[in-house]
Amino acid sequence: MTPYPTIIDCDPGTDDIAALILARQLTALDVRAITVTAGNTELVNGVRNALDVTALLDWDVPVAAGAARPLTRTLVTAAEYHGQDGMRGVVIPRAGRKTDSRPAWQMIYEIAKASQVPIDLVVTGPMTNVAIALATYDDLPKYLRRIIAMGGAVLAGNTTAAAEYNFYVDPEAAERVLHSGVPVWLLPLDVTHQAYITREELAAVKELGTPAARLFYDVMDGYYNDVLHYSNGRGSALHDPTAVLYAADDSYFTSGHCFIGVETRGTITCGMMVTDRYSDKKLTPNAHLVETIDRETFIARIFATLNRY
Amino acid sequence: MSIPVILDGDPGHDDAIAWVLAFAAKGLDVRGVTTVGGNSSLANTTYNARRILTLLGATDIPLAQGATRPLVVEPMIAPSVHGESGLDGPALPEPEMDVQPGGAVELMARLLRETAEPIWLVPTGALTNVAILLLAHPELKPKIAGISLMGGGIQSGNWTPAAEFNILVDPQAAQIVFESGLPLRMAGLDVTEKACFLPQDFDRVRAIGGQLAEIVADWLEFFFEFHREIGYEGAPVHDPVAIVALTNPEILQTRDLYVQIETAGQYACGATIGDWYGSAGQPPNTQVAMGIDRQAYVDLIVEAVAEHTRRLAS
Repeated sequence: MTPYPTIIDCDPGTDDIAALILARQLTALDVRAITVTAGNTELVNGVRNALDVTALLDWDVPVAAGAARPLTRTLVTAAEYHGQDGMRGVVIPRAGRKTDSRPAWQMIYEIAKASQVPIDLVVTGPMTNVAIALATYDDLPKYLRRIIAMGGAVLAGNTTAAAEYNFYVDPEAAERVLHSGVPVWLLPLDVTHQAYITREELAAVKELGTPAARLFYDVMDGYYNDVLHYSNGRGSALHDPTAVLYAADDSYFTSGHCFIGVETRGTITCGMMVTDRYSDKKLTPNAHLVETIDRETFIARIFATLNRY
Repeated sequence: MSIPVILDGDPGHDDAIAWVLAFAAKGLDVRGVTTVGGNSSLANTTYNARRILTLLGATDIPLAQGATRPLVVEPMIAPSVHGESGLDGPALPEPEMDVQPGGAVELMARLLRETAEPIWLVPTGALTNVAILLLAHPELKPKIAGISLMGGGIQSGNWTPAAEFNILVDPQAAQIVFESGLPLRMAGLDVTEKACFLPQDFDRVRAIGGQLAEIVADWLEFFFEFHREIGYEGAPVHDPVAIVALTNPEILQTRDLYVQIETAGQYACGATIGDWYGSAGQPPNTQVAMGIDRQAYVDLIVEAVAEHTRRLAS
């Protein structure tokens, strides 16, 4: 299989870093660039983390900085999970790598346009960069095969009762992207909470012994005990890795095509993902809601991928 | 000891079946019935309520007409589901009773004032009457044992992607009820979509024989028509679950959640937001039913129709 041209837009962020570690070795992906947005941590931290992590992985992929804040709102970081620095205190060597001179949206557009085939865009943070790219370049949609994004929640949110973090931080951006006409596959909390890693499995990752596996372990270990309740105590959800692995192979997931909107004006529901999957309305579908994952296959793929280091 | 209740609804096929269950169930003491607009106009739901109580031989139960409109938003109705009358389908007896003067809130207030033991309110329509009662008579809150309602949905809505019909009809009233601090039991779409009557269950009801059984079977079949067209295998009989939450809680799986109502928003207005992961840091205010033993539910309603049929014959 020819590796598929892909850009990863992220806010690293501990589980974003886990996703990047996997993306580097997924043979189905040809990662042409990493673009960074503000989210889990301030933009400057996210950019530094992306540069240092790619250097540690000996990965010569371009990194571009994007938006320092959401489209219209004040940035709300997730320091309680990711630490002020986005690494939750995990220390890796400072690399001399520099960002690409272009802003994230320009790099997304130029790489997509230059590609022989429409590219995949994997988004693991707030959708600010993607919304700016779509607003700036009217012809961008025809250069995108699909957008695969971790975000939203059907049952309940994790930042507020209604909203998942990525959608909560920039609901306007998510709403813009979902109605852009580009095919979107969304991986909400309902599926990423099924994609958990157990204590024993995480320990086995550490045993692999490579610097990449060690970093994967370290970034996932920090908040492990804080998030167990989201997966009924069975393990810690690998939110962002789920999106990257979906981009590489969607054969062990199921999804439904339905209307999806993002609330931007509610009093207690800003950032809530609203899906028509179950209502009587049968509105025109605009996105694909990923609903289930075969966790055993998912974990097997993670080990197979980490073993390539 | 029987549980005293006031039934408040907008009949409506599933309200009607809920009321059959309420009158037939062992352990419930129906003190009064009130109406609200929703499934159909207030005039229609009140007329339907008079016909249902007449059918059930419950003409001695005080019945009162509720609020003429929602607290803030414009009235809306659901003729696509319940027909033009709000209770289309079988012919019903003409009413042999009238409504009490003074209206629903006055009747509820009187019943609460007079009662020795607190009363459960069982709203199966929009929450307008209950909200007005709480606003107008805060002194009577200690006389309310709790509110067991059909409405909302933690996972999704039905009338809009986010909102269930009863809550959407009067979101501000729902907000007042959910913020009341009273014990709340919520039978929302999470459970009521699982409370399905399948075609073979309609036959069990009809096989009981007699006028009531024929009518209930016809109601189920009418209610199924709308749902079959949108892909259901049976009729989700929503409202009786709010009765079951009082009489047979053992057949429900529940979870205590902090539930809030969205009253604004371009998509989420009327949504019941359940804090499943504890993100809001608030103690639970609602016992939310999420699952049901469907067979036991069908058995309860079939047995209730049979029991009440025997009672009417004797």
